Amino acid sequence: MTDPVQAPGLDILHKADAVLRALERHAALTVAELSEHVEEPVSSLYRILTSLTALGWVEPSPARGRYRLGIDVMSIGYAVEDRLSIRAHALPVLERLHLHTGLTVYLCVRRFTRSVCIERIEGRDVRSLATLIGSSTPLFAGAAPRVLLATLPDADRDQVIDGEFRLDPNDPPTPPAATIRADAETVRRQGYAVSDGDVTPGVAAIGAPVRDHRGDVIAAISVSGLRPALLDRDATELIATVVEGADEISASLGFAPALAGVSHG
Amino acid sequence: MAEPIKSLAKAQAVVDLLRRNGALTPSEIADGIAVPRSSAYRLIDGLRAIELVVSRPDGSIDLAQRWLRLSDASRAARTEWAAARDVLDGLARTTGFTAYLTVPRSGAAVCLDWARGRGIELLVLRPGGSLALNAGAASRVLRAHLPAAERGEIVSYTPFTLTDPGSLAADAEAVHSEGFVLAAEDVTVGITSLAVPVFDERGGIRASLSVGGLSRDVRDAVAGALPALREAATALG
Repeated sequence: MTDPVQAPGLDILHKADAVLRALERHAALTVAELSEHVEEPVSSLYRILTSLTALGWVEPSPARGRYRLGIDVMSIGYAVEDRLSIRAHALPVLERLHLHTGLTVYLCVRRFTRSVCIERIEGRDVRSLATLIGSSTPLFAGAAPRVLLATLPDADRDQVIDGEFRLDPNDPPTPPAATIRADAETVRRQGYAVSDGDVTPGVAAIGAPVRDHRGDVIAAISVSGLRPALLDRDATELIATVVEGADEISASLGFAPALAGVSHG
Repeated sequence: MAEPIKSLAKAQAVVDLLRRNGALTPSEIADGIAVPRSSAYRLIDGLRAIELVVSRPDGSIDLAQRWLRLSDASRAARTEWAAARDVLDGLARTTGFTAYLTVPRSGAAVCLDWARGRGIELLVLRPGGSLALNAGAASRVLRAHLPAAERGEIVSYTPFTLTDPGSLAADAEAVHSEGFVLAAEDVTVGITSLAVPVFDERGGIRASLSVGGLSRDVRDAVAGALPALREAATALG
């Protein structure tokens, strides 16, 4: 990385960045307030603000004398979000998990009351017909689906649990709502789900949530295999591996635990 | 307005190039903004240092995820539209369609906020997304009230997009006399939208409010949705 001191002109980028950071945290600021945050005298800050305004990254706020992030910033964010492919970001991690564990690895997203598998890498031992790419499972069965249900916002979760699950002929029967709710609480508290034969007898799985830059859960990953390979010994290490993998995908999607949900909903 | 500081203008040009094209190699960036390679490398280093771009494993340069948070902050700072949230939710609830708030910006229509309806999700327009002013009900309402110099480029999205000056002039006239646009399949085939203008206290155009959904559903619902939109636009204006 070039040292800004050795690169004339780039020093200004750091000042511009300080303005963006201050406006990201504080919504709308006066030049005097910005001057404090950016530690730049009002006169030279004014020149930077004028430039940033001309370039669309900053705009005058309707509140007189205040500045805020420009509408073009929304358009840039839109382009970034538009190209974000969960699958592309997840694939390197899924491949590594598969290599390290030898288990089948899944990436699932929620569609209404079901979990849909959008990526899968085959394990060594067993070919589970229950979850092929594109196939779906009700949200109460299986590690990844239960993670997706448990991490829904309360109102959405209640709506799913108290409503009717759409079931396919081969799905397991719907457990009582209280059972589903208790399980969801446990999964949410733990931050992962362990599945022990609830989709296919003899097959176990461990699932963990993938979050976007807002902290919302947008997918879940899981590893799955024959029960003895996962659960006959202490599963702590395997659980940690899956959770770390999910966290790594979240980070690549822009999730920063310390930042999410702090400045704005 | 004074010329923007040169290195900031170039940095913005790099970001804009990446916004339009996706990830590019440093030499593509150099060509794209017409600077020598050495300057491009320096700009990229600077933008990377402030976390606005990232290097991908293949060596190409892409916009950083940080833009997502900046974008959310920009959206949250639009306090003049604070009331729009409830208005959009109300529209989505009463009409069942997805409701949008759209403003003009640099010759395009930019969606500021939305509330999802019961039906399919229309991914054409989300917050931050933009359309040419000649396509979609929300855009065409804005276009009709903008001076010619601010109407931007004409883009054709489907065979039903209005592109010739005659049809667009007639459309603008209809907006002024009827006060709404029903736009059928001119952005996405199968999708129709219905929009009304939102004016400021001096009668200037501020935004448009619209609902969109499957063509048949929207056509059948115009009689109910139009008064709801008009009432909402008055509440926001």
